Amino acid sequence: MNASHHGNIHRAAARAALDVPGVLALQPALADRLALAASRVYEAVAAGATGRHEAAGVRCELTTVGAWHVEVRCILDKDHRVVDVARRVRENVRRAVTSYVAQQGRAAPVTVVVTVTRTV
Amino acid sequence: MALDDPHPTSSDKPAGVHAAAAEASLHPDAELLAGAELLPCGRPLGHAWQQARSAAGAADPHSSRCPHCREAIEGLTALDRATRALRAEEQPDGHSLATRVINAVRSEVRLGTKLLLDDPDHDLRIAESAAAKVLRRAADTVPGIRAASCRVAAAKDDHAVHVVHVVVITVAATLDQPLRGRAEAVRQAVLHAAEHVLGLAVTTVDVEVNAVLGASRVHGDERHELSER
Repeated sequence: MNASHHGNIHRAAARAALDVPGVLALQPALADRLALAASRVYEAVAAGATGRHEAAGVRCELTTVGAWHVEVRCILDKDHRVVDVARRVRENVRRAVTSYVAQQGRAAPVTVVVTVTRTV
Repeated sequence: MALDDPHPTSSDKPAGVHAAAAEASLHPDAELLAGAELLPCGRPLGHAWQQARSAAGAADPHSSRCPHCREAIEGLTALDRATRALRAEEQPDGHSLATRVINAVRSEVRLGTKLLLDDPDHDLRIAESAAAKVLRRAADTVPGIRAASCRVAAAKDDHAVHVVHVVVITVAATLDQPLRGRAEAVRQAVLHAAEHVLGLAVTTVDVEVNAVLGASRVHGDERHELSER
């Protein structure tokens, strides 16, 4: 699976998470934040690679057993019950990533971990 | 493509390659920069480089259709933008860079440990700081109470099927009502918020009153900062 597919999985997962009512934003992980802090050039590169910003807050990796492991960090609206929104995020992201990898002819199990970093 | 990759020989080249190579020779600067590398479609990378640097974005019909050319142009455009940004940028200030890095790390640390939400799959988590904020807000709804700090941790029970949590909340209280009743109201408010607002399994709430509020400071909805926390 090349970088383009990897990027597509990121974007599919990010879009699926942001589509859930009650999800306000995705929170970049430390690695993304450090990249942002380390260089403003990141902005220029990110703008060129469409969707990179959109997918900050999502980490995907293909495990050694051929499964996709996706981590989503999100900020939620305080008027929604946290665990309910987190469940919907997990289901939406799992469905979106499963569907994408199946379309590519590489059906693989997908696990999703959702971390709520803030409610506002 | 690695620089030392052998280029396809003339006998390997698709029909359009000769023409493409001729096109590349029209852009000697680009060719110098990108080398004479050939994309899988047979076009020279220098051509994509030239298009990426062209302000008008004058893509020819082949480039706009060909995924190899499009990908190369997209990547080179991003690289070009980054290069221009670097040129325009003042020399990086080491101090501000260090500050940005420290702030990024601090904000990550402030999230605290990740607590498992009440779900059997154990893959939904909430940052302790986010949970504590909700629970402090719940305690604040009790008249005469102002939450100061809140810690949430998983209870240490290796045999438990579900992960449960212990909350330790420190509050300031007015003395116009018995503290025992106030503490019980705080406990109920915290338990209610944990279940209905968060979906976090909490079995124990320890309430510690460590400051006294003047009654006038928490009248009505008006809340004042505590002088002592």
